[in-house]
Amino acid sequence: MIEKIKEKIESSVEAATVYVRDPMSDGQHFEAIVIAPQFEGMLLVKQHQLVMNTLKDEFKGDVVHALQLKTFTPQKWEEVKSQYIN
Amino acid sequence: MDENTKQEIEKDIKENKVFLYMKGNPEMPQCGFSSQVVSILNQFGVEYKSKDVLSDEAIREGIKEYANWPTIPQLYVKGEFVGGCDIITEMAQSGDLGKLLSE
Repeated sequence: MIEKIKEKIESSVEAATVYVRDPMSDGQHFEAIVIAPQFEGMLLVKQHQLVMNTLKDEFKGDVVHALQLKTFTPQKWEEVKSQYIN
Repeated sequence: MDENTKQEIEKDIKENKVFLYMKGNPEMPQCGFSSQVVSILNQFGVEYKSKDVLSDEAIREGIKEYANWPTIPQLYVKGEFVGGCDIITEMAQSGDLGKLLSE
């Protein structure tokens, strides 16, 4: 499922770097970090809408119950990535 | 989404400065993400109304279409969709939510 989420996001967010995890390994609650140049100047809610809507069908069918999401521009990612990638 | 669902949504979010679509109600949230937003709103001590989408399938699907957002909870302030659990949590930490609620 992690691969599918990754592919779906990558297919609709241009030049995106995508990290997906299943922290509780329950196959239902996922976490994702998405970094993309097109987020530059985009409202946070718009960035999240873009990503979340790529998984509209998965949410509808409750195949994915939740996706905790963090989005960054490449520049912002450079500043914060040490907090996320250990 | 049929017309009266749309009108009901618009009435809810226009007549209430802060409106939360959630699973369950503030006293008995039925989902961790909904209860997280409830506790954030309670911390700000802001007055808000809410609707339990679990008891109304038309609204549950209608707001996803209306906000172009596929999940619940959904928070509206002054008639505008602000975000789901992640965004509200981030805005509360950054201070943006406090600013928005006090305007």
